[in-house]
Amino acid sequence: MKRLLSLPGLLLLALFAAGCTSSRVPPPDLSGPRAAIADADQAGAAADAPLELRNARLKLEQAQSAINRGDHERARIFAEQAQVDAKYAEARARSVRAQMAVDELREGIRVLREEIERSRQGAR
Amino acid sequence: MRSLLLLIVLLFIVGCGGPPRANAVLTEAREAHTIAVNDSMIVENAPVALQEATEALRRAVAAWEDKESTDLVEHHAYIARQRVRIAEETARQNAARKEVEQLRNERQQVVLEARAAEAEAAQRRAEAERERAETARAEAEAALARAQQLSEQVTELEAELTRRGLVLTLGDVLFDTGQATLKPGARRTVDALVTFLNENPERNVLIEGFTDSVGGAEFNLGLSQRRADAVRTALVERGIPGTRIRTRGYGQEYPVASNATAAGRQQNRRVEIVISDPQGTIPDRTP
Repeated sequence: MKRLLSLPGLLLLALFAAGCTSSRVPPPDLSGPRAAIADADQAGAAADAPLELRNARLKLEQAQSAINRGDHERARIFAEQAQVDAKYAEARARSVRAQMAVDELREGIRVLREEIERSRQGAR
Repeated sequence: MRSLLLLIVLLFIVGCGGPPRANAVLTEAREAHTIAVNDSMIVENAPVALQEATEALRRAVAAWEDKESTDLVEHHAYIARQRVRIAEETARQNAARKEVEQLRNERQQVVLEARAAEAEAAQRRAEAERERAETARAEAEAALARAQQLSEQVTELEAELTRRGLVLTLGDVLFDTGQATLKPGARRTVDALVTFLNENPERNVLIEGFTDSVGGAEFNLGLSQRRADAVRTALVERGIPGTRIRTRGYGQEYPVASNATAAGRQQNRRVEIVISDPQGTIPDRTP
């Protein structure tokens, strides 16, 4: 008992106590989610999937906050969700743009067809 | 001891109160996944993304079966749900890309069609223009021929072009003296006039009779009228409708030569036939 109360003993005790209150898992690496958000931005998510992009950014912030307060488990959850949300924002932005290209082409063809009809009608 | 046993039994019942309640978030993820897997559009266009969604769902189900915390189960279920959405959007994007390819080809075809239609239209316009030019040319030719024909007819008629129109003059020799009967010699002129009027149905005539100053104004007026009428009769007999012919006797008025000489008097004894313009109008004689 006396040994425990000596300086190395106290140090050992402190470490033990700290180990119980902080996370046993390491904090998440936020570079993955950050890159995914950057990709989504590049794909035009700010214009074509703004809500989804915003969700990703909010979760990244929450991941950082969780790291700051030492809640690594929660931080991992937010980080993983931020990443998947960013990927969703990217996929959505791309599909919206692809659909716009389809609509534009369809409209262009329609206009051309009208012109053909008009020049045929004009003959009569 | 008995109460302790009862407590244990109670706890057991509470602890094993039937199968664990389904997690709503996990159920939603499962349902969304099932729909996606059965959607051929997604299966065809985003097989890899769909596979990732299936794996994410497996992790979520495993967490639930391992009785992990609700937070963790719902986290994995959320990931799975988002993965399904990603698969949907990826499929839409790829399907749209395929459609863009097809539409580009279609547009190319339509552009060719548009060009062909424009070429056709231009050809038609040129054709119509040629026809118009041809018609104009033919009309001009016809007008020229007509003018030439008229000129020939007028020459044939030996008519004179005056302010009032073409004027044909029948001289005194074509009537018996003091009479209103047309002599056979007038036939040539009358026939020529009939031909002219048949070939120019839009024209009318005004036949005016004149005498010299010999014989009295009243007699001369009557004679001049009767002579004019005689010419009219001759035309009508040859088929010219009476509605196209007017007559008028002027007697001694409007001499064209001096009544002092015999030659002059003979000149004054005449019938003038005025032929109208193509509208059928004959301007009045100015006094």
